[in-house]
Amino acid sequence: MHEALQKAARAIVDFNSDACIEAVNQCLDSGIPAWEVVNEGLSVGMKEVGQLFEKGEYFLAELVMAGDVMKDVMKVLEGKFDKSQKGRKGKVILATIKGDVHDLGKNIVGMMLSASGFDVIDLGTDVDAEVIVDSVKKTGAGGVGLTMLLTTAVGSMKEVADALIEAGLRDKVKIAIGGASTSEKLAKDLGFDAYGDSAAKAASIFEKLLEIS
Amino acid sequence: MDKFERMNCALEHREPDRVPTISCMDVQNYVYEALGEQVPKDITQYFGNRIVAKLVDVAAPLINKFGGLEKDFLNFFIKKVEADVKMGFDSVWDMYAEIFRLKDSGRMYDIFGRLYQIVYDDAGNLLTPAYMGGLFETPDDWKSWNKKQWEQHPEKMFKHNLEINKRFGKDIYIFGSHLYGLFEQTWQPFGFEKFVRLIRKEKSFIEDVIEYNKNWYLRCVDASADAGFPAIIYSDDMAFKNGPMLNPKMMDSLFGAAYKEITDHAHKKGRKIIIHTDGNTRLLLEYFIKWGFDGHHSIEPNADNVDIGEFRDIAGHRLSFLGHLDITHILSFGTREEVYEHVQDVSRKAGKGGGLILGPCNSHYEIKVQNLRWMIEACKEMTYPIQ
Repeated sequence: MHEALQKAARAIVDFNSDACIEAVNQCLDSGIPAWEVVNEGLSVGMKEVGQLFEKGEYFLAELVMAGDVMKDVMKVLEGKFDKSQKGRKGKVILATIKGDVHDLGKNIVGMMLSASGFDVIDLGTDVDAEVIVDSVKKTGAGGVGLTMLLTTAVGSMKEVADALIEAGLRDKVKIAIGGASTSEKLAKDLGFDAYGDSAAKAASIFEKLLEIS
Repeated sequence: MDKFERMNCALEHREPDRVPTISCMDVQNYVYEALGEQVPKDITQYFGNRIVAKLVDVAAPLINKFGGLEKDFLNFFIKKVEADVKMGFDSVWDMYAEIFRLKDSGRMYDIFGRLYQIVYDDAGNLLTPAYMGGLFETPDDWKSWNKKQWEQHPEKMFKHNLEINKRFGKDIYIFGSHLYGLFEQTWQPFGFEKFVRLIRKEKSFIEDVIEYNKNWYLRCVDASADAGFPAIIYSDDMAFKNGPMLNPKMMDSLFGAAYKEITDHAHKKGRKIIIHTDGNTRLLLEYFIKWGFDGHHSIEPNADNVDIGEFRDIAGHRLSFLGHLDITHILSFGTREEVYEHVQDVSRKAGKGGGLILGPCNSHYEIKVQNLRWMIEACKEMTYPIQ
């Protein structure tokens, strides 16, 4: 790996925006394309942050901090991407379902997916099942990630499942759920494809669901 | 033993006559069913009507000015303690939560700068509003926020606590509490992502906010202690189901000194102080002890990696444990046998030598009054020495 890519990855793990921007500029000056900077540098750093989170060495705040560094750096990279590479791993729709407005987990999932090369369509919070169905139709997304924190919103999860079946779209999308009041059992009961117990696993879950090597 | 002897004994890690109980229930269906009364109508129950909603959207500031929700909230919290007394709990977590104001027919905000969604249970009764995010974007927003009601809060809390203590102080052991602690009161008005960004980029501002909140919180400790409550629950959710939200070392460096000042202040007033937080708190237990807390409430059994027996092994008798009973099944849908078995199991794991006070780990509208009655009965039969 190019030394500057390694530096960029390291700076993500260290939450150092200035060092990361410097390394990214070095990469660009060396002729490394923007998407390679993201895929071979920044996303390597984000992956390590995710692994440190899984090991219990990093916490929620560190995930957000790393995402914050990513945001700072993406401003530098804006406009430098070859559009054909955008979202090369596929489109994933994210939504905090109707009846719930807690979006911290969803935002971290979005950050991890974007950093891994997915095109993320974030529908926000308190999202109606119909809006999710419309979005699947319009975007042709292969994945849907649903989150909820409140147990009172469980009914809305079922509404999404039913609405996708009714629209004849269920076999066209893979659905993963996450959030404090979700579980492996709930995912199975509602016929969803995966349950994520941690936002840090989002990229690997959707890579598996969408069969991306 | 009476309730006070039993509670003091347990909190001092001596074995009482039996395992004591605590209620943290704060939902209307529980309170009024326990009292055998109908849930009273409050103004929020008319918000489903489109015309009323439109009126409220316009008139919210006026409703707030005339104390629209204040009376309902204060009456409810009096009823809540009355219900816990009637149920036969040994102790109650009394929350002072007169902080909500109407933003419009679908949302509330609080006097500290948080925004909430108005939520109802299946029967249409108002639940504790659900946090949506912060009203502040920048440090200047926090600095320029009108803190008049914020500053008046401890005095109002004291008056309310006096009333509660006058009515129920002889009937039940009362833990006084302000609804939110320093961590929540620091991050939530900004939202977690902005808060984390501020730690990275404007740490001295965050330190100033913590200092302000700490000095203010000391007055809330006074509001409980001076009103005569025997103990305090310091409520500050800092963990979620996977673990702490912040690295515990970072938590310690930012908040540790302030926590210690709060616990020292409570101890000087002769009050034990218990920290409440949901989530997997395994990595925080040593810090709770370091920060001077006497006990830990919630110990959510369904959070990852939470086993009260193992928690006892880690903390020994340096922390008492309160709450812990499962609300996702046992206290909501479980049978009498399941409730008894759960109480016995937890008592055997963590009750030896005292330091265990059982109750629902959280408040939820699906918890059944009948299951709570079984829980109290089961605790009454859980006599010391625990076999």
